[in-house]
Amino acid sequence: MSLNSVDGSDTKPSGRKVVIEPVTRIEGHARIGIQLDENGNVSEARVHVMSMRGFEKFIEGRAAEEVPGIVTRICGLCPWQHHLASNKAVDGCFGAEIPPTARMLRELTQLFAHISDKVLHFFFLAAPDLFSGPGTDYRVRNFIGLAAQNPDLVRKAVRTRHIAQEMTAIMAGNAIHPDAVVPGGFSRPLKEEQRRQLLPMAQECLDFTRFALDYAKEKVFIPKWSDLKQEDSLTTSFLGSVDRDGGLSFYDGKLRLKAPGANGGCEEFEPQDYRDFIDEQVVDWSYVKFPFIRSAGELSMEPENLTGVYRANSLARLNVCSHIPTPFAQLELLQFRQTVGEMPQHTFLHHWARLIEAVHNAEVALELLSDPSITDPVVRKKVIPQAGRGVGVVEAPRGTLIHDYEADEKGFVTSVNLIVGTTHNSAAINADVLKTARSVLENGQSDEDALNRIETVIRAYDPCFSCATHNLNGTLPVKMDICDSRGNVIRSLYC
Amino acid sequence: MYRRIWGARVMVIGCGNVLFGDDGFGPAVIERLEAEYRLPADAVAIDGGTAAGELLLDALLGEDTPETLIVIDAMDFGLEPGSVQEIPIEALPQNKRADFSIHQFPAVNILKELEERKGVSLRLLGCQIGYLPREINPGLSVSVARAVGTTAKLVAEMVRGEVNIQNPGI
Repeated sequence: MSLNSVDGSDTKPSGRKVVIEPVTRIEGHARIGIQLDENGNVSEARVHVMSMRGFEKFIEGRAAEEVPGIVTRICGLCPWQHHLASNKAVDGCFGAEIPPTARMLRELTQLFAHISDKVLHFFFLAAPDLFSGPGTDYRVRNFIGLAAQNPDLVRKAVRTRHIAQEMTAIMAGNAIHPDAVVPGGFSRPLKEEQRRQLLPMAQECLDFTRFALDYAKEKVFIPKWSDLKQEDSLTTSFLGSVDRDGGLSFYDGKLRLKAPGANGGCEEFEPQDYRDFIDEQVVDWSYVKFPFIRSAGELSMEPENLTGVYRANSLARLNVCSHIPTPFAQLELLQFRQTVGEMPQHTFLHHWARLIEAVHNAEVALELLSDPSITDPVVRKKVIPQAGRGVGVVEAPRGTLIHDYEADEKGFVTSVNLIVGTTHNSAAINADVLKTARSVLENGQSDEDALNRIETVIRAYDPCFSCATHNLNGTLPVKMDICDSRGNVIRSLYC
Repeated sequence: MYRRIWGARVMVIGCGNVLFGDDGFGPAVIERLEAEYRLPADAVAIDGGTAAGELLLDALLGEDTPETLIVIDAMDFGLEPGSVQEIPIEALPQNKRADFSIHQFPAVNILKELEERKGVSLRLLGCQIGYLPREINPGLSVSVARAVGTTAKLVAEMVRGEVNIQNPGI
């Protein structure tokens, strides 16, 4: 019944299969399998993700306080968020209450890391698609081509990216493998000279993100939306964090699951209760688990009959929040909702949402840095290992990140459950790819443009596997094999 | 830390995931290099982990690009496990060339752009893997572990050589 088994072997005896396969290494990659029926139309599409397998088992039995140092090796893109969520989970296990200044420092670093990621994603991965369009010559459809067209814009984006990375490194100790957060707080206080150093840097980030958002609205978001809003898009629920007033939050608060529609239902819960609201399903054709809304009772990824599917990421966060608690970003949210409506669904809007979030991140960073108490030297409380459960939740660039640990009385981890942003989106990505494949691969015809349409859908989720990124020279990072009904490759394309 | 990286004229990046067997070769060489050798002041060695692609992208985009970039990575050439070779970028296996991601190394296209657009002198050192687990299992195989010390020594010599080329009067 499945298109491919977990080991990738074809199990479908009839029809033809189109395989899009980037050959990558072990941190995680995806292969897109598209099954054509006898008439050449798409019958199934599945995104096979080779995720970080065995991590949960590897952690069990280790001292809980070691784990935040290990998780930074999970992913090269979100080491900070894993480090942060892991420490929050250990805090929970040990019953630690952190000092107010430690919370400020954790949140500040979280915001810097988000700014860095959002500038990288928008300008260097997504913008070439957005500013060029799918039909553009692949040799200039990349950020090198973008730089040639818009040198000042790209120069500013590069500078902001570097500033954000530098700010993250100042706070986190090491931007690649951060070590600043510890159970019970933060490992070191912020010095006054560091605060003075960071303030103008955060201001520059705010200035640029506001400029970039205005620019993108004028050149891309609003002009493209008038066409894209006619498109039939996937309709799902959304998950994200909100503060106690329902405002957008990246560090803590409650989780909110919101159903589609302007008046859709809403479930709000404490992070530690997530299992009461999110169930998980395992399939035989992917190593990635598929979380779904427990109250739906089941999961269906058929685009015309989606059941239990929700999404996380930037658009989800903007859809679930009641407001954004900073002035510039709140104005942007109002304009966004006025333009695209309440609870919009189109994946294209991830990009717009991402830049609004970047403005908010910079605004909050400035607020925190302007508060003199952020240099208070009391940033850590003593913690004593004990038995308990801790659920650490933060918003990572690709969605809500959940680290759920249980520890024994000596503080050794006895069980672990992780749900990362891309995992929340795995059902939606599959459904979206199937929906798009059906619309662009008619009668078995597949070309670069069609494949790029599928890739663009995947990249909009910014998933944490290779397909998320864009080839520097603009070529499609995929291999496509077209197989006959016997499974023989009759055509291979390195696009 | 970040500025210190970008001020360096010779940059050494060890790539790979220490949680996956021999893929941790690059970081292991960096660790040995830092423990047993003193690099010149304008050289820096970085455990890039799985974020090397991002580092390279930043190097490509930034103004403080190093003059020489030495990359150490685990690779699969079909040789004896632990064999270390300096390889031209053109000789990278097809699967490496097709890889483009910043989520993981190698980002061969970024390396090429660094060479062609920024004039960076690239030195790539690859170590033949012996054991690459399907699930998390840290630790190098015996053959690859034996290559760590000799590679660190080789890299230290390469760094000194590159610095001498850049500063012939010293």
